[in-house]
Amino acid sequence: MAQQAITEYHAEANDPTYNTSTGLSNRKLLMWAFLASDVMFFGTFIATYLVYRNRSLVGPYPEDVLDIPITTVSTFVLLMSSLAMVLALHYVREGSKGPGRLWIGVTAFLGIVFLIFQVIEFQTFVNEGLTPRTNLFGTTFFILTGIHGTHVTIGVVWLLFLLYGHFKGTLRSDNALDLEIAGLYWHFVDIVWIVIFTIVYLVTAKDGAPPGAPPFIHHG
Amino acid sequence: MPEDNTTNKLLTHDGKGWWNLPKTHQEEKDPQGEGPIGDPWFKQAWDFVTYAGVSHASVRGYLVVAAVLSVFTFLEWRLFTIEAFGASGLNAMMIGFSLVKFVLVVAFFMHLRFDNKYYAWIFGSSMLLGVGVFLALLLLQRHHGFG
Repeated sequence: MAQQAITEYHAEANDPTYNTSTGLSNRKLLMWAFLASDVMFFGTFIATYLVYRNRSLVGPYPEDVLDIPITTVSTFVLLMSSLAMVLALHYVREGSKGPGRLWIGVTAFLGIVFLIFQVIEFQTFVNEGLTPRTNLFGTTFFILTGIHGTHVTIGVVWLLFLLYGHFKGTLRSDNALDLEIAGLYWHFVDIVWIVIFTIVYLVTAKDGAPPGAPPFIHHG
Repeated sequence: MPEDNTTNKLLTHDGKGWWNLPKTHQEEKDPQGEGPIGDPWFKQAWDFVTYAGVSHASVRGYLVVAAVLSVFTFLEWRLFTIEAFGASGLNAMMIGFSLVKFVLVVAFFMHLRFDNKYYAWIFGSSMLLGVGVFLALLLLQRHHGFG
């Protein structure tokens, strides 16, 4: 039973469609290679954020603007979108049209909700005087979270195309690999946010004005 | 299609109860496509959650992972709001929680635990390189500064 399950799950290894030197789908391998490069891409931005931590000469500083409860909710939303994604893949692979469609839609919806949280957060920060040009915190924060948000946006668009394809009948159980590859991307965006939430929000959220710098006084 | 009796899959492996699984992995054939994560006690714990590492996670398995992720996220927020821990202790706990969440998503949601080892090696080596770049930048700044 279990061996049958793994054989079916790793059908790509036995499928003549994947007659490659590795026996694996080239497209899936390409996605993993892309994600590998993206690890380093985000790694440099996160490191840059930490390198410039506590180096802003003017406010607002992290303790003045970061809202941990709200960001915890948006983090939860993104985590649940990952759950929706694996459920979508499970049902599409199984050939269950209704649940497959539902969970792809839920994944995209939760991605949009996360983006709305991010837009509201950015708007709030700008209203409080923090822009990418204000200080080093603003520059590194907006670049890092903005690039992550761009990744989420691309993922949402990709999912909406797949949802359309599922309605049209071009996404089926026999080519569920299309959804699996999109899923890998989506989960990667999720794990990047797990790291960003910890490092940018939880670890540095209590950072105030560094020694010698004036405290931030909100004039709004 | 595999038998979709999730309770049966959760409690048994090839007809044997989880309490009757092989004591060591030398006693059973290495399942094809099994990922390289964890050995030996960690692997045994993993095996319990993943039906001895052979079949992929069921819907119930995904729900369990999602519940653990949710609880950890809640704990992160709760621990952040109480002042019972020092900054370094709190940071260590947050990074620990983050690491667990990261591994759970990669292993179960991205299926790396069950997928071909090749994918795990690609991602694992890039993680090493990425963490290396990360640490190199931080050390460079600590010792030389960036002006």
